[in-house]
Amino acid sequence: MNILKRLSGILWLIIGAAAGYYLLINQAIPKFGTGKAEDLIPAGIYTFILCPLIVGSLATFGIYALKGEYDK
Amino acid sequence: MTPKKPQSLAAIIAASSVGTMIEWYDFYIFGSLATIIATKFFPTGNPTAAFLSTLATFAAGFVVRPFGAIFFGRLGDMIGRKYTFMVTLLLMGGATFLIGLIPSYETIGFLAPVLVLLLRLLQGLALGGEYGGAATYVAEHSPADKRGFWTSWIQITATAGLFVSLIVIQLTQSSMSKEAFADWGWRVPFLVSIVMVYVSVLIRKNMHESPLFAKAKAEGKTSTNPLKESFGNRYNFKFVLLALLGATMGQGVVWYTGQFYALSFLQKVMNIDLQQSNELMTYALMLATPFFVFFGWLSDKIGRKGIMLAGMLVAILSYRTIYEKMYQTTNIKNKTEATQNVDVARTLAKKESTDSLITTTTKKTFADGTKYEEKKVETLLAAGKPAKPEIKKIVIINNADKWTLIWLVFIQVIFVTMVYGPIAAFLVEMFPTRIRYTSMSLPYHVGNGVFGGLLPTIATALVASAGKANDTAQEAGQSLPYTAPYLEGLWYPIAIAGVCFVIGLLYINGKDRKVED
Repeated sequence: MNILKRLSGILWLIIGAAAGYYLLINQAIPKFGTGKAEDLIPAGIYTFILCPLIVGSLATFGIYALKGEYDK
Repeated sequence: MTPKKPQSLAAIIAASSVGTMIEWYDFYIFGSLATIIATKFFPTGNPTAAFLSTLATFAAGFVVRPFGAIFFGRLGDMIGRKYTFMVTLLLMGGATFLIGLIPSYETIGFLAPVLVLLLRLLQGLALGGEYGGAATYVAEHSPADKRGFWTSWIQITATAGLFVSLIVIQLTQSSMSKEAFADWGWRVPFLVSIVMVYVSVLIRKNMHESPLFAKAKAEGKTSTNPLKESFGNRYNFKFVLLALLGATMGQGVVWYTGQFYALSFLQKVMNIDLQQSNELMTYALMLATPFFVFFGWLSDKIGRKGIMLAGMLVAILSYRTIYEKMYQTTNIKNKTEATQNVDVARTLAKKESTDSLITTTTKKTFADGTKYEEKKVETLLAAGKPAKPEIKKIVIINNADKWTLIWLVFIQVIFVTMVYGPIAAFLVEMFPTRIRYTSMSLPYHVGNGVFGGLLPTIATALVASAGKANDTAQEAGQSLPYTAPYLEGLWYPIAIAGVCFVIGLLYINGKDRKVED
């Protein structure tokens, strides 16, 4: 179980990076480009709230998991 | 010194729950009245922009909650639980009352939305401090084998607050004309809050401090810097992260999907009449609310982790089916039109000196009793291309469809009770007394406030994006990229709850029941 927990740390790092890429490249940047209010609000939320939160927390969690901080 | 009179657990729970329920009520009347508030405080012209502005304000209220958690959590761990959640109650009540007094945008211009935003932020701060205090306070009074059951009464308060907000809104609506409610009646639910807060302060004033905190304080074991201990200490911080990513993040999106996105979907996607959609939610909430206590009680018997993760899993697997069924239940394309009842009325009015407005109102009745009204406003410009028409649709559903929808929302609220009923006890048991208020409040409010609170805005944006992509493809004569664009918003809660489920399953121990540490 501990090995699985540690190895999954890589998965959380990858998911964090993928989520960051998706939120910024696929969602936020095209929306910023339109200049419309209904697009700017979600774009701002993706860029300044969700992206740092998801990437930061999953990356930190992934590193902790890899280092065995959550081992029994 | 006179010894303090002992308090019964029931009195402690009642005093804590009523205050927390009122805070939720204060917080939710804003969301429940979002559509009307948009027209009062934000520049008119584009209803979608106005609605999104309101949701953004709603989100601002949620995003600020973690800051309230940190600020009041720190106070609660240093000076005590009781005094801290008295302050949050007063702050919330005052802010809510003042929102009810703000003149509209038409009267004072941009100062109106700015004041609304500021008061909304205060509400968010207060709520951020309240929940952790109430949950910790009740948990620190409860016996270990009944902690899930007793703290589940705190968990009920969020739904009860929403429920009471819908009742007060409906009572206000039914006591006056639609015009009067839209004009000034919407202020009543905000103003009555001050009476409820006053009663709650009177009750809370006589409560004693939590025994575990009082003991820690007497022994000099309280923290001098709870923020540093909670988030600067790696050992504690890893549990804060685990609480967020393995529990509250998924719980937050399941909660907001079931109780808020469902309402937004009924009103904005399915176009169900405002009063009728509020009524549907009220029934579903009323029927499902006892299950918070049931799952809290069950978590004392079989563990908290299994129930919460099961709630997330069934939600992930069934959301798209449930929402598709909801959509199709009132989809007028599936219904037989009683053509003799089609009523079309056209009015012509001058908008500017040269432009004209044509309003076409179409009313239809269907064989099963469903009523449909469509108001199409076309602007005919004196010069240039005609503007895109604005179309407003209202569906008034029949009794059978009403109960089908109540059932479908009820199922979603059951998922909410599974993830939310045991979570207070779960979080309280994760952290030691000296930093409990701070450590449990932050993941709770990030999970619920940020991940959950932003759900309506994000899901609405995803649905709008899918709709636009379909429109563009249609104009270009291409096949439609989305077969059901109205379901696209669900990918957000499904993805968040999915990640949370796996993390919770792998990493959460779920066997620690001690709170005396």
